[in-house]
Amino acid sequence: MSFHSNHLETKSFRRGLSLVSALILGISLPLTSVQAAVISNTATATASAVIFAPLTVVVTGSSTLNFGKIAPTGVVGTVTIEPMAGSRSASNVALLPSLPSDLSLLVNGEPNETFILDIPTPNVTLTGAGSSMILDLFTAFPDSISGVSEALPTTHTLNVAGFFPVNVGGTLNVAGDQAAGTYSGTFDVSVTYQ
Amino acid sequence: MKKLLLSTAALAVITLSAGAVQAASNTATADAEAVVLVPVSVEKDQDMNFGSFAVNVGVSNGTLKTDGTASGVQHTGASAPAKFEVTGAGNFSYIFSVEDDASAAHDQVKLSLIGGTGTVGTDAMVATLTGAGNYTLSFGSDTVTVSGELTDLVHTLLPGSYVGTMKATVTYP
Repeated sequence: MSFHSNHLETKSFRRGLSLVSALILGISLPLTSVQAAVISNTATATASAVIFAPLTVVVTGSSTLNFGKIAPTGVVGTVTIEPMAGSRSASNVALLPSLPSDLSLLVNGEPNETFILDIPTPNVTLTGAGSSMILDLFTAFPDSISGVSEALPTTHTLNVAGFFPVNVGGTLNVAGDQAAGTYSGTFDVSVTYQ
Repeated sequence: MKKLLLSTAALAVITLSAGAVQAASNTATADAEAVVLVPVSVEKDQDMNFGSFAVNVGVSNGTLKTDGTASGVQHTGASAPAKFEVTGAGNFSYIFSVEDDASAAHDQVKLSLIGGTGTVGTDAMVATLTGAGNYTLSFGSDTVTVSGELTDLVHTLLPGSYVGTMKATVTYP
C-alpha cells in the first residue's frame, strides 16, 4: 500500500508540479501583442484656413484732390470740395476759373467681405510759397448720404465682384493774406479686412 | 469506483499541496503578478482653425498663429488651436506626439487648397505644430492643446478654403 501510494504520488506530483510551473511561466512571459494594443492610441484632427484675395485700394481718375485756383480776400476763409459731386464752394475766398476735382478711389478684395477704411492723418498740411495751409479731409461712399462727412474709420462691405468705390473731398483753410504760389501735401488712405 | 476516487483525491492533493510534498526536499515559492493598465486613449476635442486672412501684397514671409498673432497678413475671423482629450491610468505619465496624417512629418501639418495641387507657395502652406511632449494624467484624464503657426506665407497663394489633417498619438513610456 505504501509502495503503491508512493508511486502514485511521485507520478501525480510531477504532473501537478508541471501544471503549477506552466501556470507560473505563463504569467511571467511578456504578452507583447496584447500590450501593444492597449498602450497606444491615435486620433486625427483637421486644420483649416480661408485665404482672401488681397485687399487693395487704388486711385481712379485724377490722383489729386484739386482745389483749383483761389485767391484770398484779406480775411480767413475756406474752400470746400464735395466728394462724389466734385463741386467746389468757398467762404471768404475767391474762386477763379479752373478744374477742381475730388479724389476717386476703388477698393478691391474678397467679394462680400467687410473692411475698415481709414485716413490715418485726416488733417493734411499743404506747403508752398507762403505759410502752410491745413486741409481737413472727409469721405463719401455709395452706402452713405452723399456729402455727409462720416467719422473715420468706417466699415463697409465689398460688393459681389469684390469692389467698393470711395470718394474723398475736404475743406481747405486759407489765410487772409495767403501768399501766392502752388501748395501741395500728401495723405494716406488705408483699408484692412475687419 | 473506490479505487478511482482514491486516485482522483490523491491527484488533487498532489496538485494543490505540492508544497507539502516538496517539503521533503527543497522548496521555493514564486510570485506571479501583472500590472494591468487602463488603456491610454485619445480623442479629438477641437479642430485647429486659422480663421480667414489675406497676405499683404509683396509679402513672401508672412506668418499667422492660432492665437491670432500675425505678420504680413490681414487676419480676420476667429482662430483656435486643436485640442485632444487623453484618458488612461490614474496619474501615469504618457507621451503625446503629433504629425501630418498624410506625410507622417512630425510636428507639422500641410494645408492644401480644396481641389488644388498641393504645391506649397501656390495652393498649399505648412503649419508648425507645438504640443508634443511628455505629460502626466490627472485622475485618469488630461487635455493637450496643439497650437500652430503658418509660416512663409506668400501673397501669391490662391484664395479659397484650405484644409489639412493631423494625427495625434499617445503611448505609455
